[in-house]
Amino acid sequence: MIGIIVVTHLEIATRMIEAAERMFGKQDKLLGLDLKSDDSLQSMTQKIAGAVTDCIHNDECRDGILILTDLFGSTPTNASLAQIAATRRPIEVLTGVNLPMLASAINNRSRLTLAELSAKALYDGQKGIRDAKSILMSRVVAQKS
Amino acid sequence: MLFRIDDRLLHGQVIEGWIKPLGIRRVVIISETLSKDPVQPELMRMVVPDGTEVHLLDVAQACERLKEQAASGGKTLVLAPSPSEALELVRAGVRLEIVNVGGLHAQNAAAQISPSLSLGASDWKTLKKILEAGVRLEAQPIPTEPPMDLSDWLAKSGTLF
Repeated sequence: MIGIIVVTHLEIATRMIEAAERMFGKQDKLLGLDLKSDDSLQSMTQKIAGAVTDCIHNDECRDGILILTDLFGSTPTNASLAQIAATRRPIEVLTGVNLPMLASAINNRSRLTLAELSAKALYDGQKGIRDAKSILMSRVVAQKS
Repeated sequence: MLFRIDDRLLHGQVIEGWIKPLGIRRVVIISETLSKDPVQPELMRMVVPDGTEVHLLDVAQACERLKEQAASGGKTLVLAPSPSEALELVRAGVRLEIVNVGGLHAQNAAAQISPSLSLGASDWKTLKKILEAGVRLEAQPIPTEPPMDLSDWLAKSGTLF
């Protein structure tokens, strides 16, 4: 199984997982880590290392781990990237996590390899960002004409 | 030159809050360990806006280079992971008027000033020495929030440590 770890500022990660689990039901090996105001880069790196080790323990994440973070350049991402040097396990890190990206990762993890899943979740996350009003308006205009 | 103590170094608050809005063109990171890390130096260069230089210096190099720069102003942000680098710079004769105490997250903190400022005894002592050297210490997470002068707090909080 591919493990999924969401790492964000404050409680975005746990809340986003809560929302995703309302849609898809309770998930195995899906973990949210929140960067609190009193976390340092070091304490956050340790938290993620702990989660990675837990996932690897029992060999449950033998197919790798996909880490989804919120902001490129921020502590959640910096601490996640530190894992790549620290472990030989296959880990991918994507930034800009949103619900479409997380949904895609959950939906596709049992049928894809880690590299494929990472590419798919990235694509679906980007595709989920739309200018909703202009899509609606263009359809309304198209119907009228 | 802006000087900030922040153990998260280059992170979201610094990039979005300081570097982008203030148009910082050069970032100097003072660290004894960072340049030996296999990932972090490249990461630090990757996350800043295009055209922003990132320099990683150890304390000795920083003392040397910042002596000239401190006076010249310019859009430079200097980041140090703890108060001790700042104190070494001051002792080496780098002129710092204000030091921004942005983020310290001590694991066994004896006192908390704000969610992002928890101090252990050694940080407190070092900050006190920086203050005594005539440097103004300000707690200010982002430029749009007012800076808090730490001199009063440092004067009163000695009993906590």
